[in-house]
Amino acid sequence: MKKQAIAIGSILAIALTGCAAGTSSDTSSSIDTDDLLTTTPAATGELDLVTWNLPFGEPASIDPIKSFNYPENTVVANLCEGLMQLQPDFSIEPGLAEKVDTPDDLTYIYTIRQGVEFWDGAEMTADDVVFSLGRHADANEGSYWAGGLISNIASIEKTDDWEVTVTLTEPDATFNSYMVTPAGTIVQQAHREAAGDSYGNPTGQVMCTGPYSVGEWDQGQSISLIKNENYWNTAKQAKTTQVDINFIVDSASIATALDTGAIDGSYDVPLGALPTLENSEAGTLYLGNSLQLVAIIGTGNGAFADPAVRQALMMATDRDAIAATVFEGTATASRSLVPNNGWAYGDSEFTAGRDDLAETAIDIEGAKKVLESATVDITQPISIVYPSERTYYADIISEIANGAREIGLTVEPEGVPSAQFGAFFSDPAAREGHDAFVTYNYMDVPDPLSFLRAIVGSDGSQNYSEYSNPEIDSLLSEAAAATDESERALLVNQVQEAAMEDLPWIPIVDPAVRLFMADGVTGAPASFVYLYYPWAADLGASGE
Amino acid sequence: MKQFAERMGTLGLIACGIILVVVLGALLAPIIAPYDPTIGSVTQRYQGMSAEHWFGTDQAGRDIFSRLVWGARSSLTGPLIVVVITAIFGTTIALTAVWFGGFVDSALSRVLDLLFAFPNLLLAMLAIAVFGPSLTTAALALAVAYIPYSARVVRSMAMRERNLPYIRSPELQGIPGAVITVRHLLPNVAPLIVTGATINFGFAMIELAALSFLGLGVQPPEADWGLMVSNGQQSLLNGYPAESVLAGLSIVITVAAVGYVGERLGGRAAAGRKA
Repeated sequence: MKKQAIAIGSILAIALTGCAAGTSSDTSSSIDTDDLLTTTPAATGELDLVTWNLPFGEPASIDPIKSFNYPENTVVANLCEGLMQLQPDFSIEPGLAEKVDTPDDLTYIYTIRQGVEFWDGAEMTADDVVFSLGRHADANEGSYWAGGLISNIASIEKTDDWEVTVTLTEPDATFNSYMVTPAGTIVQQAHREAAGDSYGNPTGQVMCTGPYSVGEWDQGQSISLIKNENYWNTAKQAKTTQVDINFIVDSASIATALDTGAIDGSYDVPLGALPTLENSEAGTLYLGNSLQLVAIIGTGNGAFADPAVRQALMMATDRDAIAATVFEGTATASRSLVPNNGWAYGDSEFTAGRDDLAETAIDIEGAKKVLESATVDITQPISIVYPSERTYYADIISEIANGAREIGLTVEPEGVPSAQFGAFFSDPAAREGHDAFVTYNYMDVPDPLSFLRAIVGSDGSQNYSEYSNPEIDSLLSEAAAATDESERALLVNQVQEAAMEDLPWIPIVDPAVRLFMADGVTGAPASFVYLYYPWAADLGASGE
Repeated sequence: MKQFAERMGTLGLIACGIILVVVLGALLAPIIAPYDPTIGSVTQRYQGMSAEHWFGTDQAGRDIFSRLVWGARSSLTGPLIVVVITAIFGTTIALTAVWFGGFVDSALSRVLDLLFAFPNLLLAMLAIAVFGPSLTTAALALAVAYIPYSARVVRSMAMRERNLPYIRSPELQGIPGAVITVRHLLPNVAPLIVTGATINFGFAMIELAALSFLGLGVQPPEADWGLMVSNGQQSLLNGYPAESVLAGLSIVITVAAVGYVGERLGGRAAAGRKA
């Protein structure tokens, strides 16, 4: 009896002692965006093997035209290349095209690079380019990139042995920048046609020109990238012979694997793993320039459908606190729907335009005044849906709910399984009965015009609330036709200003890229280019 | 009362005390809990133990003590739903099978065998996939999964009682089977039903906590011990163990207490039968 009592007492004592250890409050603050990195120290030597991880899980396919999310793009970026290539500083350089000429605002003439070989040794031709670009418009191929950009293409023609001409229906100044994405990625025509339905999966795979080819794909576990010894761009030859990419999604497991050196590196380190990795002796946590945005997307339903309610909610939400705590100081409060520094042109104009927008500081009294102009029943609760597996969203919504309570609104989090949550982005029926949902979004290309067009354009691909503003549509068209970059930036600033008034999305924070690499491994870009840039080719030995 | 105390023993009384505290905590949560369990600010996250927050705050800045107290409600309600439904349906099926015997007994036994083939959690997950995650769905699905266990135990006991003179005699007098079953058979298997219910209560609490841990039971931001263990797992790794450890301890201690009391009640029931 005494032994039992002692045992029970001991357990309680240990537990309470352990609990008492957690006595510190969080006092971290947001990162200064000037401190964000573009690259990590360049590799000084070669490595035989690097083990990486994809925290968002296994790619569903490595077919470029079905690559539209973190897992797929992070892998495909090392395998297949576009006519143009995004660089770590967000500039856009020629890729598989030597150059592009634009004799008018509807015509893009790509001079195809000669001497580029696919992994099987066959030379890439203009026919492969025409075929690859044309796949997006082929309904049988099921491209995830079909729509806006692609539907604006009037024709794709081989106009010379090494020249392909793309003609647009309407001017679109963002078109060429999309050639860094899978919309402009080139695959081998013969291999695609031979692979049939297995194309892009572990059996059929792909045939591309990138610095890595596909090695073993162990479904559910990992995919190996093998160095392409005959890579055309000798200056960018891969420094690591093999990169094994695992598909671990559990935050705690990722933290442990990185902290113990079982995995050498990862982008998108989970927020929950940050406290462990910030102090890890196994490697370094890098924070990079990003094109990402965490936001609340309105569905057009309930009280959230009223712009005054959305504006008041944004003003009442302590976004700086969210950046400092939920994101452990690795994000900054969003001042705009356009992530900070998310542009490759018009820096002075965009910076000035951003400075003209309202500050991110919480303003309860201002929010109450704005809310007075609401025309909906503000007593109805606002449900914000989030994937229940990602608990940090619940913390964000909880903080939004706190602000809402201050101004007389009720916000309720509504968790749904991730599998169900994905439908919110593709199926209007899934959004019915819900007022808003969260997003960890990103710009495909560093051009505010394309991002804002997707969100606030009447036919925007990310316009989930059927938001329509003729003035904004007109400005978007005008900006798309503007060949002068300064002029375009100023027009986009006007769109941004109007969008921040109506707020079809409420921007919350701009998260930095979170990259962890083990000691001895370096070179990967720190900025948000790993979806469209062959980041693994830069990995190598640090010389330590 | 003295007889009850003697049969429970010291540990049994401690266990009863623990159950009483947990039940009272659940019932009086609005009075006891100093804060709203669903409201917190990230600016107050990971506060340590203090007079203001006895057990500190979680990653969302919510008061852990308040969440534990409120969490007792769902953590007790779920298993209660399971054992009540299980007891009602399990007993009804068992007594029906025993009374009629023959084809009815065989048919009901095969149905129970079929239900046995499904692991409890799998059945619950299937139901949640169809009806959506909630405590009610999880509890109802688990109840269905538990019915065969309860029915089998009651059936085996009732089968023995069925041929005893106190059942046979009124049957020969022409008294309806339903009356005999309710008035004579049921009271004699009741201690076994109560014992089974207390043991099932512990199992159900663990499995419902597991479902909440997996995000399939009680949904955030509501308070629930299983959910708290899940929510706190990353905090645990990051050096803030209070939420997970205290919620886990609450589950372990309550389950152990209920299980021990159930065991003692079972012994008491057996002793009563022998007498």
